[in-house]
Amino acid sequence: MIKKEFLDYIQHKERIFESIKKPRMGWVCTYTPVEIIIAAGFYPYRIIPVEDPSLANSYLDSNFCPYVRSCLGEALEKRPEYADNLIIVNSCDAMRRLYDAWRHYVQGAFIYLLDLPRDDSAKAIKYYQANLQLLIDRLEEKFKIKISEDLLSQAILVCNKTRKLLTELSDLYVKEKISLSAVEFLQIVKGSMIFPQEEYNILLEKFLKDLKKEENILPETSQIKNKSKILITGTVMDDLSMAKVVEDYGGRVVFVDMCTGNRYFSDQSKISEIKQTNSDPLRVLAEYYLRKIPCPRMMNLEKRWEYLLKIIKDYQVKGVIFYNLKFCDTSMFELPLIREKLQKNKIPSLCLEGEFASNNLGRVKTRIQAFLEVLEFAR
Amino acid sequence: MIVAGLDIGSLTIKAVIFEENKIKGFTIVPTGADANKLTKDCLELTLKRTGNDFKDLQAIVATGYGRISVPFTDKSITEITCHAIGANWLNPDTRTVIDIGGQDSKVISVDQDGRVVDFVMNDKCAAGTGRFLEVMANALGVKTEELGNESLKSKKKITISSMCTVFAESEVISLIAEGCAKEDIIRGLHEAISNRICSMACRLRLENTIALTGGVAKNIGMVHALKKRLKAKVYVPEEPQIVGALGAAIAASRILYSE
Ligand SMILES: Nc1ncnc2c1ncn2[C@@H]1O[C@H](COP(=O)(O)OP(=O)(O)OP(=O)(O)O)[C@@H](O)[C@H]1O
Ligand code: SF4
Ligand SMILES: [Mg+2]
Repeated sequence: MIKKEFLDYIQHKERIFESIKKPRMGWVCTYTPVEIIIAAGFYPYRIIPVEDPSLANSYLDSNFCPYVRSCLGEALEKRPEYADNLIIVNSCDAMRRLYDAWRHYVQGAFIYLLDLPRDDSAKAIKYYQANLQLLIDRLEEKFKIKISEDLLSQAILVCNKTRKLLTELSDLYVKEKISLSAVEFLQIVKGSMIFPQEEYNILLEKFLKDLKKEENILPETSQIKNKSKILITGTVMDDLSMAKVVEDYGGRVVFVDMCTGNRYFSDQSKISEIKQTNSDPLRVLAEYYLRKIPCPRMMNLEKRWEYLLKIIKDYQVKGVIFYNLKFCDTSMFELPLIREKLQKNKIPSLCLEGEFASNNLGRVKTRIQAFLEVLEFAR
Repeated sequence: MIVAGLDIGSLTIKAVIFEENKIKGFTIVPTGADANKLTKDCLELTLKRTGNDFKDLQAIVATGYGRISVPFTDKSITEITCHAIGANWLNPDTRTVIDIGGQDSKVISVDQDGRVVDFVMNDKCAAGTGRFLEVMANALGVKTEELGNESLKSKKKITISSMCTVFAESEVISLIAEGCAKEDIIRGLHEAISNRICSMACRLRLENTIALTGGVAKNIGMVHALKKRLKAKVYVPEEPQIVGALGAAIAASRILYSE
């Protein structure tokens, strides 16, 4: 399949929605065990809104997370068929308020709040596993279904495959073996969250196979060496044009530590390891989700830093861009601390604050260009 | 070797002609709808003053908001880098640059070679910048250029609490209605802006000497307020508004050297 065709196809959310006849289950945070949704016979899709957050401003104050407001805005605009069923993770205050507002103003058949612990201790894993069991009980009761261990194990395999394919894509992308821009790469990752997983796996596998054909592999160039390699870190990235700006000014995005980027799939190896040593699929899921690359929300600074430093070393990162949605407490909390550690390691960093779907690109452009000038001088 | 630096800012366009490590001439004109033409005119006016011709220019670098859209330049560099280069050339002791322009304010840390180490920039709105002061001057019926001297007459401290351009304007209007003296209100405005700039600046490690650049540094009242608040060694260039264009011109001459 040619790139253009593939990218075109995965970007038409509405078309996908219409073609799938299965009941839908929306999710918002990447700590949602999509495997359970699949095992329950639903089509899981992440709500990544395109609507203006201001639609939700009558219900949630504008100092609220713009991602959360956009989710609500989109649901209000497109209800009811859009969001009948939804799982929200208790990841931050904004998410809890989304749950409240959704239940009240959007309504729907099944709106569920899943509690998420903050660390990966044995007790936390046990607790999360029990929560997953509760979710399953509620689903079984509400929809009169049975979610067997077998179905769960199968769903894990499906999601593992997606993660594996995305990892493969990311390797090819980082090594610049294929012609793929940062924006295209992120679009493909995003596609994997809004498409039905099984179908997406087939598409992506075909696409990858094609990419890897000899004639599509780019010759080794020295060009990459002259580009400043950038790590982008933060929470949710809506506006991909920012990644484009980095590349337009001669930078190279090598890793996107966001839950709409590499963080979504990068720890795939872990789940296979766990799977081999453990047979209870719920336990496997609980362990995987709590032990994967932590989101700033987990407030595990040491672990976050260790992992960021490893990426910086592995990918020869020259500069770090923090991209945080406005007023996100959890990411603001770690920012100065991580920044200080970066300074000690002589890694320049830039902080950008975003609105969801903002188009105030002029200022962002100046900052990114200036940051790349700093990196260029430092070389 | 003759080169030019152009700074196409949100409110003014600046051109500097630079020859053999000296500023040969400069011009400042207001920005308008047709920025390309105005920039060209601004450059030509400067060339006329220095007795040169467009053909004499060996390199041109553009900076500022409109840096990318000007067609006749060799390179575009951000104003952050240019203000750093310009301030370092004027005063090599500069380790921090505070540039307050029409709609942006920026704080830049620089090293001994004039290289940017880190920077912060105000977000989105124009509160606490030159444009803000112009709106307030208008509300007070004072010319922008007179704000500085007016504020020095102040004897009473007034605190302006709103920093949003719209709210501050109505606050100013009600202060006038209450009979507050103009000079006290203006000083209050300067202090409010300086507080805002300083809280942004404190995100960086502020080191001496601090150079004040951009058009707002021509306002003596602002300089006083900033000095008081920063408690640091402050340097104000003779022509603070052209520092960005100067930096661009120096960058242009470096392009030639490296070739
Ligand atoms: N003589 C003066 N006295 C007081 N203020 C002045 C004077 N001249 C200019 N200014 C201030 O300088 C501002 C313009 O500064 P400058 O030319 O540096 O902006 P700019 O570069 O166009 O804007 P930006 O950098 O934000 O794009 C005006 O808004 C005005 O407040
Ligand atoms: S940033 Fe973290 S908490 Fe927020 S949605 Fe993504 S994974 Fe969940
Ligand atoms: Mg300027």
